[in-house]
Amino acid sequence: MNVQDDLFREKISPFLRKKLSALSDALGEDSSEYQGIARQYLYSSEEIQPCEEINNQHYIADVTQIEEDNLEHGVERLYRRSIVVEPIFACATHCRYCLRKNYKSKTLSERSLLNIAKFCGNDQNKGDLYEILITGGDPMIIPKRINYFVESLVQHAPNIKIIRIGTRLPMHDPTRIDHSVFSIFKEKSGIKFELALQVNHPKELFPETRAVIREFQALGVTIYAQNVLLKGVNDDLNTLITLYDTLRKLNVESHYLFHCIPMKNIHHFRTSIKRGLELTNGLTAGGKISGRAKPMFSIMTDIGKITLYEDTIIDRKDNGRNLLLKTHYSLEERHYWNPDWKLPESCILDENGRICVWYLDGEDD
Amino acid sequence: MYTLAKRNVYASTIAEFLNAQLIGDDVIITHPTTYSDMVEHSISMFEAGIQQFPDVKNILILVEKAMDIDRPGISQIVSDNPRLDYFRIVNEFYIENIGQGIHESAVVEEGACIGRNIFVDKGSFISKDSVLSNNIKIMKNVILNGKISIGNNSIVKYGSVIGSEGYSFVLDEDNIPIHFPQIGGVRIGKNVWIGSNTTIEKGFLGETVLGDNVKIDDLVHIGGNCQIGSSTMITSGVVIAVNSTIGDNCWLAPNSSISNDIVIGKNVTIGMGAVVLKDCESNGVYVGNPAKLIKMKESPKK
Repeated sequence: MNVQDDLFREKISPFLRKKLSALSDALGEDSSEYQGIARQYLYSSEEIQPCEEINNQHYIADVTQIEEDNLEHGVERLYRRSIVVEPIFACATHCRYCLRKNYKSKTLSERSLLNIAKFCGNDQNKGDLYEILITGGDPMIIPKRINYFVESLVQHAPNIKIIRIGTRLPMHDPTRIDHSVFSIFKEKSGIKFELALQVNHPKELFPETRAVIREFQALGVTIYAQNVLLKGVNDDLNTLITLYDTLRKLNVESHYLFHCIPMKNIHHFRTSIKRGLELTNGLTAGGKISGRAKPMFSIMTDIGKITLYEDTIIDRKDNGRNLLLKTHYSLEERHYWNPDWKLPESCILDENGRICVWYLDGEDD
Repeated sequence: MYTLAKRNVYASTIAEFLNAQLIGDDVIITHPTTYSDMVEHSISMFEAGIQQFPDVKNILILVEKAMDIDRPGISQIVSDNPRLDYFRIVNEFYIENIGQGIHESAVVEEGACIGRNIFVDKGSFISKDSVLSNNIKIMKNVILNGKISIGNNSIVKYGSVIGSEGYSFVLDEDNIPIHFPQIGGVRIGKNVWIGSNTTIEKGFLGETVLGDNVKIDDLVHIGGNCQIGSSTMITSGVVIAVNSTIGDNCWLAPNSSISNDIVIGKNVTIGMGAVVLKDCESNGVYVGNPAKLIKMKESPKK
């Protein structure tokens, strides 16, 4: 049996293949630079090792009914002021640790996107919704459809003032970023655009990548990075220091450093939370990098993002492998803006009606 | 107006974009071609009547029904409407947008109201009374003269004149033709396509009106105060004299001529070279000189 039949298919853009080949020739396949990129994209037999992580998907927050559309998925809402839209689930390259790799693929039509734009601006939502995250998949691979969606938002949801777009295309294949992509960000008065990149290793900031970052910035787009802590890619202090220093020099804001989620086939990427906290604290302790460049170490749980502060972990079980995390999310509030949302089994409510969530930790070697 | 952009796109990405299944290998596709010119890494759609498959590998074909192909390297995507899906793929993945902005040689008079994402190419002229909504492309050497309004997502191709002075003369006591002052305008809906070297006269008092989604081919003339209904298609060489009304969803075949003050209903087909001298009722098919009704069509489904 081809083990990959059951797994996320390996898909790597010709651009990245060339870069990997050049790194292999120059530094060898054992180099941290080659591994820092290759591990993110190349299939590894570690993926099929037995592990505690059994979930194929991480969290569910679908909004299934949008105006005239019955969407299977493609719209998520976890927060009051923002909504997440996934117009396409395909990417130029597959990341082995992808959060949405097991989602059923569905590409939203122009008609669906128009209905979503109207939904965002309807009487029920226009008072609350302020920003939208367009992600996927990689929305930048279908720039004309995204431009259509953004135009629809401008027309039908003037309450949306911030549009964030999540993309890895500047790293996966910057040659595909041309005027069709830049058009999305032009002449949309009243909208602040933010581009969310995910750069996990400093070597991913190729010259071509830096060039498109500068072009986006010249259009007034704010660029920030939310990265994932990946064992064997960036789980050492020096790599993270170089990464955050380089991002700062490129005027890219460091936002979240995510703990790698508990999902099937990616156990080998997951450090412990303790290790993540040590690394993020180590970034600024001893003056390694400025606090201006330091990311927030955060966890994507069943109920949303939790940034780790001193008192976030309130209980442990299973020999410390499962952590109970305190949040300020309220079930009542969430049902107010997403009546379809169901409290996951991993959650309990505290005495104030706030949601606490159990989270499976990773392991250090 | 369109620039081909060669890009590396996986066949699986194209299938996902169409919400369809990929049959065969996940090959890299770099550009579209015609079926007969397929080369490695190209995409095309299967054309009816062609019996053999291209003798190349690593290609992707859009088909209406999955075909048994005994050679490797030919991947397929089944589509209910290959032509429409092929257009969507080409447009999304392999065409680079032309830019926004106004070329330095174009003249936009002060007072013109210009929306977002407007492209005005070399040598064009936009009058001070023009109102352009958003996402409009004005190609080279276009004249917008007088009170012109154009709706979202419309295109005016090379050398066309919108708002030209109408051919409207009155005879004085000595039978000398005197030009009737033309002070009306032209109102163009959204998603309208106006072909090259087309002339649309302004209304002499009121407006000449083109409804939403009207598509006009190259070399068409539309007289002042005409009213063209939504989604009507006007092909090359059509001449419509002043003050005529064409309903929604009509098809005017090449070189047909419509006399002045004619009323054509909805969903009417005017045949090639027809000369329309009388009103035409909805859903009729008219051909000949003078044009005569030859059959009735079914009303379009709503």
